Amino acid sequence: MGGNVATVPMGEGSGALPPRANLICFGASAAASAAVSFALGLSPFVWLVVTGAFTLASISIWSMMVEGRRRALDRVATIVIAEIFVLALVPLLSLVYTVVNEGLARFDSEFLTTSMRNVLGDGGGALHAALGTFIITAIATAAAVPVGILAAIYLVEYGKGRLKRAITFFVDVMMGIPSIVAGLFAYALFEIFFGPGIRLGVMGSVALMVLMIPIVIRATEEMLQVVPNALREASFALGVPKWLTILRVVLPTALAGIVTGVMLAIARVIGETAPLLVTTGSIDSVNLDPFNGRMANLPVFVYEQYKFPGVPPEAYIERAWAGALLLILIVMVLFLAARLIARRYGVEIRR
Amino acid sequence: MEAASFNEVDLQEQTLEVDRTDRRVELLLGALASTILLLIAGMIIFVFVKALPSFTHNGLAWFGSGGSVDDQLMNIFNSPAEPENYVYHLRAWPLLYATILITGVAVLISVVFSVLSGIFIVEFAPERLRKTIEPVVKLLAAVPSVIYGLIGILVVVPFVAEHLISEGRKESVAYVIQLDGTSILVGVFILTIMICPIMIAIIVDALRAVPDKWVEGAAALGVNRWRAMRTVSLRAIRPAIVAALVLATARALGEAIMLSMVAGSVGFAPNPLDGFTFFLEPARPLASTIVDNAEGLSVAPFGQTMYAFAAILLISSAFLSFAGWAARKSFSRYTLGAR
Repeated sequence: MGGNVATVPMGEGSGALPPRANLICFGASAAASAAVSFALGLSPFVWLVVTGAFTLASISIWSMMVEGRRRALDRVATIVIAEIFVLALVPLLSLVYTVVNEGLARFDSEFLTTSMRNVLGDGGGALHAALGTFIITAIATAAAVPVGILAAIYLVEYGKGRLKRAITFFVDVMMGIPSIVAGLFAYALFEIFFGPGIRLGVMGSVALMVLMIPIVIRATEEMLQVVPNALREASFALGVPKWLTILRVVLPTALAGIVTGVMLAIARVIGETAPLLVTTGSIDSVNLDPFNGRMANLPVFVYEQYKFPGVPPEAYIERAWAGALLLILIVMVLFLAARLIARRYGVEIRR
Repeated sequence: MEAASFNEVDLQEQTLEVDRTDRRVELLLGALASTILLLIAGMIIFVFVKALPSFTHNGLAWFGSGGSVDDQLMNIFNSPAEPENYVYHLRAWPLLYATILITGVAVLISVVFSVLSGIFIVEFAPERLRKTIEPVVKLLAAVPSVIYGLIGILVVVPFVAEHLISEGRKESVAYVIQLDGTSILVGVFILTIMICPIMIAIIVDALRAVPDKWVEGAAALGVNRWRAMRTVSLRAIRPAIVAALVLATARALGEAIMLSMVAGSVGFAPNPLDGFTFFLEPARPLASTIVDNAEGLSVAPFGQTMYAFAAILLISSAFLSFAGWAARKSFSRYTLGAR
């Protein structure tokens, strides 16, 4: 044993476990619980739980005996945190797996090229819904992005005093507004002009815009704040006015980050179901005019296929899964594109 | 530039001109940013004006319990066409109770999960694992709620119905409610999964911003990793935890589609005295009630009742934002500023 000096900070115990002790315990526990589960004929789920418990028990006892209380506590905390993390990840990954697995059954060319017009039972597709989602989201984006970016520029570059604080606070409030309330707001707004029971594609866009604006503001604000002040000062020193500095120096520097933020904002709102259900309604055929009549969209399509199945119900459920898969794919593509842009062009302002 | 610009007066004029342009841009942007205040004001006014009749007719009893809320909603929907005969009678307690119960439990569970998962990702996970996990978590935070609902109703609910609900259990509450698997248990479970990624994403960002020096300082004093996390990092990111809490609670409060699919969609107040059966009883929060009755909005008194629900949600979320802001402010003297 070494001198006292080396062991004092470690607590009561004096020894040390081998470097991969946590892994060893996990492996041994996995094997042991596999043996137990196999002998008793239990499900893999039970195996996982038992493995976790065994690992925790064995490492705490082993470490307690060899290393003492404080190190044992550290190891137990490590294991517990890792296990909770796995516990959190399992449902998340099984979600993607389930959607892909179930969705592939009807994810064919017919699904992508036909609408539900005159379809009873089998067949049909989500073309009308996909087009509707595209139009509704595009209008919402076109409205929300300029407002969001300009407001963020005001907050970061110009804003001061009470107005800035008020706007910042209310952007926070807006961030927390339940999506269904945004939907009802859009409905109330249009009801004034068009009378009760109105359903339009553009109403959905208004609801999504309300949800998008705070997200765009937050993302843009964050990006503008990362732009180094030295760049601004250099520009001022050359006699460039502030607005031109923002236009020519600050915005180009933050552009990649802003684009990323906007794409993530689109990904966030593109799957909103509740506000669209009360504003756009649903319809079986293609409608490309957002100012005229109901407009189908993917989230509502998925919901309605599940909620109001016809005969045979399997066909409707399969379409719901396929629609869900399409929706997840769209979100994923937006995410990947955003990451790609951030990585490709956003280098200078990385933190 | 012409030589004339060297003239003192010209230069002053130019500077003034630039100042004026800048001033104009500032005013323009300020006006635009202020429209956001208008938008929110408009929203509050629209929702509350439409909600008012429902509140005034019922008074404070609106929040109370009494009778079946679903029957009351049906009566409102079927009320006579003449405005003087509109029916507004409503005792919304079961819906309020369901909202509080489901949101509260889900948020409590996910705070613990998310903080610990966040610590794992930042502090314990190997670099390569971390690089794959972070985008996955952010992606999962954006999975549409209708997909969670679909999975809940088609995968989780049948599982619960098959494994947790016996005939005896069904009979024990058969005279008040039907147990078919759609329940607050599944609702809370899926809601927890939905809001965890939101919180994890915020907490991970905050933990990463904790200066290494602080943790190293603790380590240099002989503190082990877990204790350093608890006493240094977690304390430093309290504002971020509050922010995550506020955002996740707001999301849970407003969650409509998923809960309307998996939580049973019955205006029923689950009774904690039923023991474990309590968790298997259905309920329907406010937001789900609105979604379920989306097509009834054009019936005036019914629509106004729905707007009353929306008003409650709006107040709660605004209050949440305010509470979060106040809490962050009180922390900010000692911690990393999460703004």
